[in-house]
Amino acid sequence: MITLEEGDLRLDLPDPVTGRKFDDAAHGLSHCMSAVDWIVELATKTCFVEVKDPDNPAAKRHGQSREFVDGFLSGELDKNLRTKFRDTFLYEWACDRVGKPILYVVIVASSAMDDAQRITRMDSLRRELPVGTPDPWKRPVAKDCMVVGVETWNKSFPELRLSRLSEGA
Amino acid sequence: MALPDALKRAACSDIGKGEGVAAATLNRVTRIKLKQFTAFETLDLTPSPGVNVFLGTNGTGKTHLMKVAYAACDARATGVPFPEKLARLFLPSGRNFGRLVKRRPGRSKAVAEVEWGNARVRASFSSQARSPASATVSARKVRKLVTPAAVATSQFVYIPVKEMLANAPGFRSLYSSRDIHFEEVYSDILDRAFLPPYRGAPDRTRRRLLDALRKVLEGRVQSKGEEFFLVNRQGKLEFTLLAEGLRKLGLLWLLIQNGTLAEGSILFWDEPETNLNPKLFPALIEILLELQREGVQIFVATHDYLILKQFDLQAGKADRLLFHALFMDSDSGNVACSSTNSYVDIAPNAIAEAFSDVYDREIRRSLGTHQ
Repeated sequence: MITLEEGDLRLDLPDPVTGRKFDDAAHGLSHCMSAVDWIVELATKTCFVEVKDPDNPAAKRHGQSREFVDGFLSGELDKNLRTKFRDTFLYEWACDRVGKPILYVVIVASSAMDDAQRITRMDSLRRELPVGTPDPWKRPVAKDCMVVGVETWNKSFPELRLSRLSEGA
Repeated sequence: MALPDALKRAACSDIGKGEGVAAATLNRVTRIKLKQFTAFETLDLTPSPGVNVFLGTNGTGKTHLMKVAYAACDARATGVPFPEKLARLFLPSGRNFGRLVKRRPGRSKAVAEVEWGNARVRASFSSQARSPASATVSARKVRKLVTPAAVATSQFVYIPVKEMLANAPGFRSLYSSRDIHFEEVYSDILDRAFLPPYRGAPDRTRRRLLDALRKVLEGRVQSKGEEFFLVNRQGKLEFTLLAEGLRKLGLLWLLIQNGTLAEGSILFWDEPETNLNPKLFPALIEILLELQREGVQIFVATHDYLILKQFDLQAGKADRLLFHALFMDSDSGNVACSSTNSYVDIAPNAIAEAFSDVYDREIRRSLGTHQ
């Protein structure tokens, strides 16, 4: 079992699923390349996972929660999310670790967002990346992307439990 | 139905103060009660004195509810019997009034009741009722509390889903002289639109609202004979050539300009989103909220997420906004209503649920499990 943590969120990966924290010191090129938080290897796909946690009690205490959600919904973070994905892909490609289709998952742990807003951000991110194989590409860079909250993550990946440390995860 | 305490206080604060109370507060609808009426088994609704937003799937009675309140306002102000106005708005087949009773085996009796503080109008009738005249009508303190002058100056308006201004020429005279099968809301809305403007310059609020609408419309509305035109830099554009969404905003411009929508009036608007580009929603919602701040009570029925969300985003703390979710209660099999002043507490939220279904499909597609 592997456990990944980012702020107040914790992800449990049971065997044989593997994963690693990607944006830590081992990255080594953080001065010139941005990075997603986690890379999770599933049997048929690789997930690049970016974690945003406006419901983190610390962020809420400092009043940053609403500010983040407003910024995210306005699309101002789209370019940042795109760059993180592309730099991570390039890094992994240079390490010769790109093989399986890549799913980009952006976790936005916010009770202030509803599904309509998540759909809008997903559509926008799809255009930004882009996903699939637009002409004249022969292979996709990102197979697809998802914007999910904690609940949808756990519904989508029931074996890979995402929980909150402050709630006794 | 749970009504937040603050709203309960606001809804009741203007009741029972007698003749000295301003027409604005006396004219607000404070309660709507239905029993075995059309889709409803029982319903007891306490609306906000500000903005009321109805949502719910088709067939849960949003439009019926607004029509009952509108019919009662009309009966109170014009003296047309309440059941007669109901018949003209609902058009039961063959004017068979009993058809407005909720369908069930055997005889049953419907009640429709609307209150404005201590004033009340009530109609009860059986499923056997052949005509509106056979209904029993009772009124309480309607004439005593509200002076004829106050009633005369009060206005109430129902904007139906279908736009009518472009079809105005000849319609009113046709409607008044022939028995044509049109709900009376269509004739009524034209009567309101044709009211001439107030004499003198508009006050500051009215000017601000008209300016905001003029900006969206890029012009102003003018009537000539029975035709409406949008006057802008290009000249005069007849309404038949204007986008339907803009015609609706033009109607709103007329209603504000001629004082139909002013302090103390009531606006019922069925699906304001129809034919309107969503980019115009923020401006529309701001105007509705501003009207509410000026003392207009507003009832809106919507199926649109963005209308709902814009109300949520744009309403300030002082705005008196109440969401009413109408739904089919799975236990009783009857239409029920839950009201809240908080968007996140709307339950069930039929509009958000529709988006959640789409979101679920999107997630399954991303995961490659949508097949």
